[in-house]
Amino acid sequence: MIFENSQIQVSELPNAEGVDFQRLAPAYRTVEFIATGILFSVLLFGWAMFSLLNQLPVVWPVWAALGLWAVLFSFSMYLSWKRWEVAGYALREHDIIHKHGVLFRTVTTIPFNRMQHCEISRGPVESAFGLATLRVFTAGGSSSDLSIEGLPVEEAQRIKEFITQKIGERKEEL
Amino acid sequence: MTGQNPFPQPTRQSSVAIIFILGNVFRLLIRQLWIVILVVLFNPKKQVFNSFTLFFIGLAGFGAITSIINYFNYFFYIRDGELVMEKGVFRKIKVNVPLDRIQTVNFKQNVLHQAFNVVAVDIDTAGSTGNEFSLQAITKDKAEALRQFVDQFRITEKALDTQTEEPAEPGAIHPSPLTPHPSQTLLFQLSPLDLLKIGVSQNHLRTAGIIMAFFLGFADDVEEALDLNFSKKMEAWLGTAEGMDILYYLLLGLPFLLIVSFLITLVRTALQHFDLKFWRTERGFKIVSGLFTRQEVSANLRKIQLVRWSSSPLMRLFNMVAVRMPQAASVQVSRKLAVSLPGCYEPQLDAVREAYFPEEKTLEHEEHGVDKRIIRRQFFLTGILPVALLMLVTRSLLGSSIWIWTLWLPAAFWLSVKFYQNWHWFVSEEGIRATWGVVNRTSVLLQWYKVQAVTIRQSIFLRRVGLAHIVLYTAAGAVSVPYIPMVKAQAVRDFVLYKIETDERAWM
Repeated sequence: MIFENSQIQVSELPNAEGVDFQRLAPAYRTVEFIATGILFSVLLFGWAMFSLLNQLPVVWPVWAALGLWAVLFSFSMYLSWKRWEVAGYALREHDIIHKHGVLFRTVTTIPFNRMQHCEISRGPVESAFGLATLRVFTAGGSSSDLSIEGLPVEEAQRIKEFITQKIGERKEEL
Repeated sequence: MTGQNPFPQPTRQSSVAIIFILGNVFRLLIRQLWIVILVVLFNPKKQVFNSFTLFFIGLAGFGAITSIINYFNYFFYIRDGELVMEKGVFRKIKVNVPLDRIQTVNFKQNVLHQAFNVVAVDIDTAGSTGNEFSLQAITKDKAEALRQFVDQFRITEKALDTQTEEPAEPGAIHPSPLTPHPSQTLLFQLSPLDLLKIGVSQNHLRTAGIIMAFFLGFADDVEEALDLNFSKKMEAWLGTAEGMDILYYLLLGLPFLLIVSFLITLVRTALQHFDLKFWRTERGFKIVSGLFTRQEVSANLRKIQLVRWSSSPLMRLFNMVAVRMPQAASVQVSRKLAVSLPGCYEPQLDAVREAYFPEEKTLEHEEHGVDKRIIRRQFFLTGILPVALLMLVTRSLLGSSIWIWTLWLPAAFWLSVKFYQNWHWFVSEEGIRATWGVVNRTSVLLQWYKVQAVTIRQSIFLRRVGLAHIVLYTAAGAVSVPYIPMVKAQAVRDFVLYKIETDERAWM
């Protein structure tokens, strides 16, 4: 058993695993597809231009490289698709939980009483699909900060207000 | 408010500051133009005074003049609980820093400062970037008065504020305005022998790396400036050396490089930590050290997020450990602010641990290790991967003798097993202590309530076997425990969150 010494029964502690995670906006998947598509098109285009300008001969390694490109492209597309499926967040009374990542499953929890402030940012592609990224900052400006991509704008705003209010409550108490 | 406000009226810095301001401009100039200066000194024939250089010198002159004007327009004072700085000629800038936001007031004295009996003051205001406040030079008495006033202000504030009372500081709160100097006890002073021990046990390979990087980076510039051609001379010297011959030259050069690195690190360490004094102050710790530049860093116990201590094999031979206490601060200054002892002995470490985490000794701990599979990862990262890379890189040079690299593999395996055996973490109700490492051993002590965020991470490989890493982030660095069962990681996370969310103490 873990923590036998504590008076608190570990099994009775709120379990961060048992919560229902809120999914991200379905449009996030499209945004991810577009981003991956753009990246790989640029790669292909640049390579093609380079080969044409230098008049490189078309030999078998070119086809192999093209094959590799195709494999990587489909793999990245698969990851983009999975990313939406895996990601989610949950708000609890005292903290926010964010899970994300396909190859590296990451679950981050930040209690409201350790947050400094939070903000919403929107990139051009995100804006076009009515999405926003919510960022939560803790002190020390470290990697412990949390950013939830692919939230519908209104939802992001609502969470931001909720968190800001929570942070404000704590500061008043102090 | 208590105590006498040392700066009720707008005050200028000490006039000595002009020297430092000009010095900075001069240093900037040298850094930009050192190649040109080198040429003028050693190779006067070469034409270098082109318009660009003249433009640059003009710019520097302009910089010097504006700096002096700036000096006369730079005022600071304390009013209504705020430290105010006003500066600027064309664009007036006014910075207000509430005194209770000031985290630390640090002093620095180089030789020049010492000669004029002035200090440079650095004031950190955790987190709020753009509000850094620094003074190039004010007289030592004034600086002391400033710090004391800030401290007094904070102490009275704290006494009024029952919520942020810290049980961690026994007898720390003395709101009495009559204490002229905060009481402090000297915990440790580095003797010359200690200094030597520390210098010897530093990481000399790192210096060697820096030297190599320096020469690789600047050789070209110098060659160009002095019309030399090192590479040609080197080639001539090496003759038509190839293959194994180059290896022999490397073997010859390596000891030389190592000796030079060793001496440089030794001297540098000795200068930096000369006559180091480690104090326990009313509210935390203070370190003063340095021969040419006296540096003073102080830490408030509340700001210290965790304690980390480590030792190299040589240090263990001397029974020494290096201790670091990272403080919560903005990213730019956090490196400067970590109170660090390059080497001390058991009693000092105990004092630090006791101050940071008073209950540590009395609480019961549970010992845990990490999963055996970490051996595989370590062996891959420190054994197979580097060996494969070395074989690939030296293929043309060594031919069939590249297999010599595989001799490393048994050692790497042994180290990996040791790594697994040495990884331990101890949890108690209030905190965690983790210790790991084979060659260099590191330990870290963290109180739960200092944690700001908890992350559990799994790669696909770990997911398959039900393992995970857990990372506990604080406002000054993180503690991570790798390769533990997912259930354990979740239990730790839930417990830590429960602790943070129910703890009312101010964590920074």
